[in-house]
Amino acid sequence: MRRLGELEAEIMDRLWAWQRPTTVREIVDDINEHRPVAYTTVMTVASILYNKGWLLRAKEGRAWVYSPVRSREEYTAALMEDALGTSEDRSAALAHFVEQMGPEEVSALRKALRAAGRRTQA
Amino acid sequence: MSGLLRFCGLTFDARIPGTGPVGVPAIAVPASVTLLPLVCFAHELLRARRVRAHHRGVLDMVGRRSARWRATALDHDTPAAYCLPGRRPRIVVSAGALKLLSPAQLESVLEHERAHIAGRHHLALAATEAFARVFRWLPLAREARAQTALLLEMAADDRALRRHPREALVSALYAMAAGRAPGGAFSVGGPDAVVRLRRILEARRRPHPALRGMVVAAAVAVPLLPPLLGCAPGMG
Repeated sequence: MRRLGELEAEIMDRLWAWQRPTTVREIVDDINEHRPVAYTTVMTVASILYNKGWLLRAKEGRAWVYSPVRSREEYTAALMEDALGTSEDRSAALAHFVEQMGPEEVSALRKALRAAGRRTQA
Repeated sequence: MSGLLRFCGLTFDARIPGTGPVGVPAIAVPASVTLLPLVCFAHELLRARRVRAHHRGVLDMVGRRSARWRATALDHDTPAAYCLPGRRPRIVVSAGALKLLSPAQLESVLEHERAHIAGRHHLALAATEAFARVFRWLPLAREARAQTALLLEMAADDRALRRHPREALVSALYAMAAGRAPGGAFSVGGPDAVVRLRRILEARRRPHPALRGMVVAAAVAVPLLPPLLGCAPGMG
């Protein structure tokens, strides 16, 4: 199961890097430069990714060509929005180190730090 | 409880003259008041788990595992560190945080997140979340949620402080807060980070065990006062 996830990530990595519609053959050839992988395996995982909504596909001649639904950056931004988003309905799912803060809070922090610095010097 | 009531001279077969047997509402109302928060708590746990599972699925695809920090790195400029608690926990740091923080600062931040995971803080958060949903109109419920979140952050700070120098945590807290570009970002939750920072900066000694014992005793005794007073002899 973990291996499947790894292969999924490997396929997505390549498609995100290449940024163009790609055939399974091209992906297999590229992975084969590092390690052996069967064409059918990659084909299966690519259609799993399509069914999960990670990839789009279109017929080009006799082969499918795959491309990512969204860029890596878009997914990353969505995750950060999820984690740091500050809706009234704070999901109990994530625990942070610092919240989103406004400028006035940052300046209050700076004041607190300065005051502490003065105390230690005094 | 029933034994206590009986001891106070209130027995369950005491009937007020003129009323028939106990009706359905008399049982349904107290039962629902008890059960509703419990059901809501279970629902909230499941909901939060679903949210986390989805987030983790995307994270494992998009993030890069950092063996050195035992965390997942996200390629994003905003300095951030957070954790996904639960059964398959993840600690996440953004590229912005990796760039901004020194190794010592980063270690203290990661320790803070590990404390959230080890302490199962998400359970307490889910409980207050459920409470706030059931008693939506109560200011107390909303307040409890915010205060619980802050207290959990403080607990995580304390654990980080046990293993790392105070300067590392304080400077990391400030650097990350100041490093956020508040580009029209909606500020939230009041000055929590300020409160935490002041608390860390004040060198505190642990309270005397006797004082702590008294605080615990008071916390246990206060909720018991109303029934005890209500059942005082001669009142029933």
